[in-house]
Amino acid sequence: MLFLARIKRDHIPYYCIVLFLAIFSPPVFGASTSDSCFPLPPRPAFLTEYVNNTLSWKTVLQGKTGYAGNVENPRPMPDATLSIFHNDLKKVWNRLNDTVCFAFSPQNIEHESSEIIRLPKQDLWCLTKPGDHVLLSDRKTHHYTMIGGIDHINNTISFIDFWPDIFFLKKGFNSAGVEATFQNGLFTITKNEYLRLIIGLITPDTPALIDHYIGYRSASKSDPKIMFSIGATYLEHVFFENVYRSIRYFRDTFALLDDNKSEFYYKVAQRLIFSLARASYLKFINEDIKAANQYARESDELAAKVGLKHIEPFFSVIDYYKLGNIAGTAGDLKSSIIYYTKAIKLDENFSKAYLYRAMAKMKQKDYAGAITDSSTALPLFDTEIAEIKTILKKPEKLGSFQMIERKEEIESIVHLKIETLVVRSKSYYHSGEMEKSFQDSQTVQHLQNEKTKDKRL
Amino acid sequence: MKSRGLEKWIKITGLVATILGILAALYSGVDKLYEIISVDDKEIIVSDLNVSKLSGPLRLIPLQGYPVIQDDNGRTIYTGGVRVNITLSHNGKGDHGIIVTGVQLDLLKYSPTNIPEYAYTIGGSSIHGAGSVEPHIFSISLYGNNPGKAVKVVDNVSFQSRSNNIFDTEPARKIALNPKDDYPEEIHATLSAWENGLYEINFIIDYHVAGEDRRHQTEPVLIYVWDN
Repeated sequence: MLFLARIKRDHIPYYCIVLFLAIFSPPVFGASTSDSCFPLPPRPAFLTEYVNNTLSWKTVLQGKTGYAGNVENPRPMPDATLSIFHNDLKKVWNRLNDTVCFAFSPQNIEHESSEIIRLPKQDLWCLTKPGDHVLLSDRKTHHYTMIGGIDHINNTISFIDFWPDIFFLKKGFNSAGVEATFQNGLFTITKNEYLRLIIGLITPDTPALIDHYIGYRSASKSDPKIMFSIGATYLEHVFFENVYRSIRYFRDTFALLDDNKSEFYYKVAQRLIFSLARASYLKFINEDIKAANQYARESDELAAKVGLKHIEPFFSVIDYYKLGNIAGTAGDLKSSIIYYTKAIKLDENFSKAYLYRAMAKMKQKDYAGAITDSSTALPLFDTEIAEIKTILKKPEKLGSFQMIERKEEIESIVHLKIETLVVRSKSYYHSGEMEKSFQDSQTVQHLQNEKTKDKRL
Repeated sequence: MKSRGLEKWIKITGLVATILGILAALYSGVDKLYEIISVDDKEIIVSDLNVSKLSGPLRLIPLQGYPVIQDDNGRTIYTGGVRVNITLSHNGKGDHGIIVTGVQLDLLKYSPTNIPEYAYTIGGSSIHGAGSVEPHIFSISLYGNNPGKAVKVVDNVSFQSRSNNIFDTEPARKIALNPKDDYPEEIHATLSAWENGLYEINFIIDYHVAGEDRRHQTEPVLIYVWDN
């Protein structure tokens, strides 16, 4: 029979008080250390408040951990690997700007998520802060608990647990030979015992935490696995600036790899291409087109270099069309042609993209290309006009306002058709096909007369 | 003449009775045949303990997330530790009951050497941090040359054995197995090694049958741990 007790609401205020006392009672994190730990920036006040907030505790923990109890077969257990638990917590911490939910693990443990940053055990000790969640294991029992306090002078660490009566680190309750002492609501063990048991550490903090870490442990800069996981962590956090941080770490990772085209090489390349594409999009929606182009180009160049497909996860047909227009207006004809081509790839009936690509090609003196594109666009415009006219034949289904809109739509398409014919006429002229050029110019004249007639009516 | 005839009659009758006895024994079972044969008036005890082979399926189960490796001789090595499932049962022969008095872990060999070929990584995707699990199962920790005492948690109370015999708890535990008892006894234990090195262990099972002390040794199990 399955028994999974959930965290009782009544327990939460009590444990918040314990945590509060643990955090603000000496020795606290950041005190001078005797254990070769690097100093870390304290967690920002807004985050500390959140960590200590009863509501946040409820949000973070309710239903995410459980106790298997004293049953013979407690399986199936809740699906709570470090990767899954981190993912759940990330959704909570992600709501706060500039907050990153970092997950760390010893180097000899592999996880399904790339975001778990695998570090030497000593560094996990240094990074642990009160309020963090830790996954501890004696290889038989795997249990999430919370850090109540850490003493870098006496090398001890304390936990707050929701099931203090049966906390698995008590004497006789674990197979790791750990005998935790219990005082003032906290279980305390030694640093060595902690490092023997730790499977994972989840800590909400700001990017300053990892910047400090990298600053003090410079060797980590040359470890592609560490750099990659940091990049992956940033990529998965929605705060915009994190995309640019992820690019920085992925670029560093990529630079550390030789061109042996291993599985990891492609994984890194793929993430870098992806993050560059995302950055391009973010720049685009912020109307920094120059930067958007740069990121998009870097993404495409890298994809071509490593032989991977272009990453176009966020750009819609309209986005590419707009990018093409902007690049064309700025005189960057080459880029505009690339963007229109991407738009056409996503929608091969996108008439306006053909028209403007034809214009760009004509300006580049690619008259054959311009003729082809404009010849493709013209029947598409005709089809669009015919479709609207079919709708207009059933006025009972349209309101008067919609009728006016549809008519205006036809007018604008006719205008685009005229523009297309002008482009083609000019292109024929430059190609020496005078007769075809003349025919198109006559059609233009005819359409313009029709338009004038319609307006008079 | 008459007495010779009587003697002959008695001999024939005796022979027929013996043959009938043997046939009857064969009919009721071969075990019965052995039971009626005695040497120097001492009975051979056919009742014995059956101990499941550790090489059987699901007898040795790797720890969650810990890989299993093979050495050059094809021997299986469990990293970090191993879950052991031993089934004890009466062999169903004879009339004698069996009392299992002890199950102890025997450390055959320990070598605190790092073996690079055995390097392994732990699979985090198999480790689900969902609270205490398997509270009714013995845990035995290995610290280099010092195997720890067996520990078992039942109803929020921890029981620790006083010696290497995992049954040596307060109160001491013994298992009684009867020939007509269909229910075998299961022993589940989780072994975990905490001092780096290669361990070779087995289990020694001590038991009584009809006043006779007997011992069974399981096959050896290899455990390797190297945790920086």
